[in-house]
Amino acid sequence: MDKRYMALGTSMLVLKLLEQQDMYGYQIIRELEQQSQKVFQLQEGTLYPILHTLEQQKAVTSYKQTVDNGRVRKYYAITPHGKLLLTEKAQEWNVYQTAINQVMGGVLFA
Amino acid sequence: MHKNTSDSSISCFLEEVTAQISYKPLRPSIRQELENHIQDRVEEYITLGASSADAEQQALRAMGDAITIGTELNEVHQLQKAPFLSIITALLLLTGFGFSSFIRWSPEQMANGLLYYIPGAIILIFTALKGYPLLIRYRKKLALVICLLYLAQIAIFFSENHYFGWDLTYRTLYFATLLLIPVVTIMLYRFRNNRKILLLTVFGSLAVWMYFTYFRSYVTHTALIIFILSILTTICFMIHRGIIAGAKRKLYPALLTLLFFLGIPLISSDREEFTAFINPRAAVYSTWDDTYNGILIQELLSKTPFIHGLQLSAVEMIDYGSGAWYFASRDPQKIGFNPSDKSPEELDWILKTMYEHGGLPRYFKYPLDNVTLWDILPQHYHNNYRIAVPILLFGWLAGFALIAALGLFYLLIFSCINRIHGQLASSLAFCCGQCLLWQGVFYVLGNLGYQYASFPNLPLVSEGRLSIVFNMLLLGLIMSAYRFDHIIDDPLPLKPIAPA
Repeated sequence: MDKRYMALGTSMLVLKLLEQQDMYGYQIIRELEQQSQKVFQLQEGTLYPILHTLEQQKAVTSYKQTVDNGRVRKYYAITPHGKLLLTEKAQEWNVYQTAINQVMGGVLFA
Repeated sequence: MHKNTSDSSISCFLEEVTAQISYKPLRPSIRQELENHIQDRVEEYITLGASSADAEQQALRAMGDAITIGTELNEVHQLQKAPFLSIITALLLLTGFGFSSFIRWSPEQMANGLLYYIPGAIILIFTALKGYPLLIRYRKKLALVICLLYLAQIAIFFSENHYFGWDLTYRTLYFATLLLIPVVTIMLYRFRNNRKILLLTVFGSLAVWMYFTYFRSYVTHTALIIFILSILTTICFMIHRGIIAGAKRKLYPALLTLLFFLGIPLISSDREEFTAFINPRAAVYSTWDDTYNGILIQELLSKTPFIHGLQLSAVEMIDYGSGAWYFASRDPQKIGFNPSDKSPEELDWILKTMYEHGGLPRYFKYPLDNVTLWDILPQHYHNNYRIAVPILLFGWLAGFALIAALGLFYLLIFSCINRIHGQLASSLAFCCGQCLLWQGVFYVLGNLGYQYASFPNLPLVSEGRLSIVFNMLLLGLIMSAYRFDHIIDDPLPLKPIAPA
């Protein structure tokens, strides 16, 4: 897949997950695996540059929370700007998806 | 649980990731986040029945290539540079130094200029390179120290024990008031989510403000109005960016009401200063008034052509220098002072004092055929009229070029601030930018003949003393906040876990 759409897809999925609840990095990976029935299995480390980029774009914000085992986790939460960005990304994705379907449909059913 | 020793493969992986991050202070937080992720994964594999070593190896495989992750994170967290802002800052500093050194050139004047411009430049470079990280680390201590220093300075005024001289104490209090602007901004940011303390801070500041403006006049009104405008616009900025959360429909009217109450003392407690600003002609009494400077500069600027300097006959110059052009037709008794009333000793002393302070009218020392434009310029022209003087000397074109350079300087500052994403960084940079902007606005207005209270300073250009040092600090903070925006996160809130 085109790299641009790969990145678009990943950040869109991350925002979509964060729209449901605040999550930390590992939790996002787990949710992504479970909700996609293991179709989306990222190289886990590549999630963090995406999260940090989204944070700089003010699409997500973060806070720390100490959990039972004493570990301090960094949680990410979607912002109103992030929700707006998600809508835009979803629209962009729909255009891409429609174009793919049209071409594939044309090839298959011509 | 997996024990992470320094020579374990997890440690090596984390070392390799963080080694790609060029800004070292950022490494620990990234390392902690990745380490937590790996440990979570290792625990999961162990729960599924893997041995500790296998779980570790599988978790690292799942993470991907350490160098790629580190390089991508480094790309996200790059230091930002502002080359155009740095260039125009250097040019304006040179312009200011040129003015300070050459307009009344003497070795002492030049040495005096260097005494402030060199430390000012060092402060700017140091603050731009290190200011924001240091401020984040020591912000509470710094805020406390600045507040204590401010109170100590006010105490000096109460005791009237001006060991360092009244002028220096007065000036430091002026700039200390401006330095409080970033301190108040940090407090607003700190308490933005705690409505009670936020309201207490606002109303506490309001009470102190009322007290100072109604009953105490040791803080110049110019510093106070710059302070209040900078703080209010910063609050607007914080509301606009959602840093102060709440319904904008309620927050903006509340802010306008606050502005109204804060503005009343400024207008009512010293009506003369306000009248002199709005309509200088209604408030002038003699050529010794600051207001007269404004009227004179308005008159001279109105006669200056576009492409070359002002040209006046000797008679016209004497007329302007003496104030006769304005006062003679109204009340001849109010033309400055009459030298024929003074004894030769008194006259010598007055002229000597006026000369030392760059005062007017210096035409007393010149015969009619030797008077020049320099002899009739308003008092303190070498500091206060650094925009008006080039216009008078070279025409409005030169003045527009200077004003355009200033406009470009502020445009670059605010375009940098606009690109800052961090909440604290952007708020802090914005308030410092406002402080520099309002000084410039009041300075330019003063140069066009509309002076409010005491003359402010033009950052980087005029009054190359404490102004340089303090304004370099503010500008350095802006540059530093911009530089580290992609690197230093806002201090993260630590949220307690909600009870199940």
